[in-house]
Formats: sequence, structure tokens, C-alpha cells
Amino acid sequence: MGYLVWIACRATAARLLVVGRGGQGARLAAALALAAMWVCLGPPPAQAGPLTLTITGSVDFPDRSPDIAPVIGPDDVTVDVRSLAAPGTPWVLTIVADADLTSGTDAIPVGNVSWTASPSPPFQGGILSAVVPSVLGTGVSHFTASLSLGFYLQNSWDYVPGDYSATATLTLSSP
Amino acid sequence: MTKYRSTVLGLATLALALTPVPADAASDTKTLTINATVSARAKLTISPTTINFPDADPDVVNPIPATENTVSVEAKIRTTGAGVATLTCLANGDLVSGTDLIDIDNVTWTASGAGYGPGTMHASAAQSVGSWVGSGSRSGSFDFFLDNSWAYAVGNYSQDVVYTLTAP
Repeated sequence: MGYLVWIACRATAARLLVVGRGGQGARLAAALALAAMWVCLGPPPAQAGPLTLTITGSVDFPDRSPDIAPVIGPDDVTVDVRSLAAPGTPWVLTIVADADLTSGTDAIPVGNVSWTASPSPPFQGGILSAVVPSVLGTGVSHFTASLSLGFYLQNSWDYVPGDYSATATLTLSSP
Repeated sequence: MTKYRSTVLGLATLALALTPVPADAASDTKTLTINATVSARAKLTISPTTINFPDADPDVVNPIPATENTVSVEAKIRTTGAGVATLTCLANGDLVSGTDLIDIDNVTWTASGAGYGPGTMHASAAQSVGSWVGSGSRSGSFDFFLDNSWAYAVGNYSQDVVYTLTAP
């Protein structure tokens, strides 16, 4: 919508300028046309978005003795973040797990998973939750960054042997 | 185009140009997979690992407590939810001093801590020391005793005892 208005704005201003220059007693029209041209000469309003996320890799915690590695990690994931909404438009990146890490009927609380983030700011570390999305970062458009996330798992002798898995959803949004 | 129409059109154009363009809401969502591998494992810690029974008058001290009592033990286990982990001990033989022997089953122990139990040393069959269901870290302690006797030959006796922690 904004782009079409911009096109119409420039076209109309250009026509008015021609009419103003060629018509008799149309100095006012020409002045208005010039003013409109001055406004319209700016870059077209950016289309809302795009906001894009690209994730490279997955998180894979290996088996380790809790006495040797009380915390397993970091296991790194790269996220390309792009917010190309209208300049100055705020964006927020969040993460939330779908559930605990599960292996059959056994579970490892997802709150035992944490992360560090770089660059910081605008990104920040935190603890994973399956209840409330955690904020990974905030800012304003235009913004692009390669976000490096380092994930950690609290280790424990209480864990039952198995292959555990969970998914986490990253959401980049702009109001 | 008349001057009037040009003016109106120009004003309209300017009004349009100055109207803020609302940005549409937008978002992108991606899914991240998190995996973790947990394997069965067992780790046993006993401290100290050497105990000594001092010489004592059999009429006065019987049985003889080990100088190092109380000995601490910790069994760390990762096993399936219904898996039973066991701790056993088996002596490599009787207490030996040259050619003299003290029967190893003269050595006994008491135990404290969930899952731990008392027993008597043997060299022919492993003896149960403890058992537990599922994963976890189990702490306990032992007190060792040697039955005293005037029948013992004089000497410095020793023997090794092997403790084995098994997690299915």
C-alpha cells in the first residue's frame, strides 16, 4: 500500500510540475508539485518485512560423566537474523521449547538447558522454558546479524539412559 | 487544466505524500532441534582404600575395629528406570602373612546409608554390599571389624578385596 502511494505521489507531482510550468497562472500548482516532489523523492516506504530467520545446525549434547562435566557444552548454533521493516520499526526475537527433553517416558527438564548469545547486546543469554517464551534479543529495523548461540545442559547422575529430544521455536516478530 | 483544479490536485498529492504509511505486522518462525544422549554408567568411590586392624588383647578387644572406621562410600549410577544396580565385594583370599593365614571370613562390616547392608567377607563368592533401583548418587559408610583370637600366629597380614558396582 505504501509503495503504491509513493508511485502515485511521484507521478502526480511530476504531472503537476509539467502543468504548472506550461499552464498560465499555474504558479501555485507548480509550487505544490515541487513540494510534493520534495516529499516523494525520498526512498519508497519499505514493504512491511521481510523478517527472516535462518538456523544452521542443531543442538546435540553428548553423553558425559557428571563428575567430569557437570555442565555439557557449549554446542553452538548460528542464526541469521534479518529485520527489514520500515526503519525504526522494533523487532523482537524469542525462543520457547515445545516440552521437556524426552526419551520414551523419561524426561530431562528443559530448564536444564541454557544458552549464551553473541553479539551481546542486542542478544542475550537465558534459560530455556516450555511455558514462557524467553527473549533472545530486541532492536529496531533495519537490522541484520549473525547470532551465535552456545547451548549448555546441566548434567546429573539422576538422568535415565536414553536418547532425548526436544524442539524449540525461534520467532522474529515486528509489531 | 485550470488553475483551481491544479491547486486541488497539488494539495491532494501533498496530503497523500505526508500521510504516514502504516507497516503491516510481520514475523518469521524457525524450529531448532535439541538432542541429548545419556548412557548407562557407574562410578564407585571408597575412602580410604586401606584399612588396618591393630594388635589387641583378645580378652580385651574382640572384635577389633579398623583404625580407619568409618569408611565412606559413594555409588553413582545411571541405569534404566527399573534397572537394579548392585555393589558386591570379593576377597582375593585369606589374610596372609608369609605362610600363616587368618580366615577372611573373620572380617565383617556394618553399613549405613540407603541401599547398603552389612556382611561378612568371603573369598569364594561375591558378597552383596548394596543394591538400588534407578539412577542416582548413593552415599553410605562402612565400619570393619576383625574377630580376634589367641590362635592367630604373629605376623603382618594383608589381603585385597575387590568391590564391584554394576549398573544394567
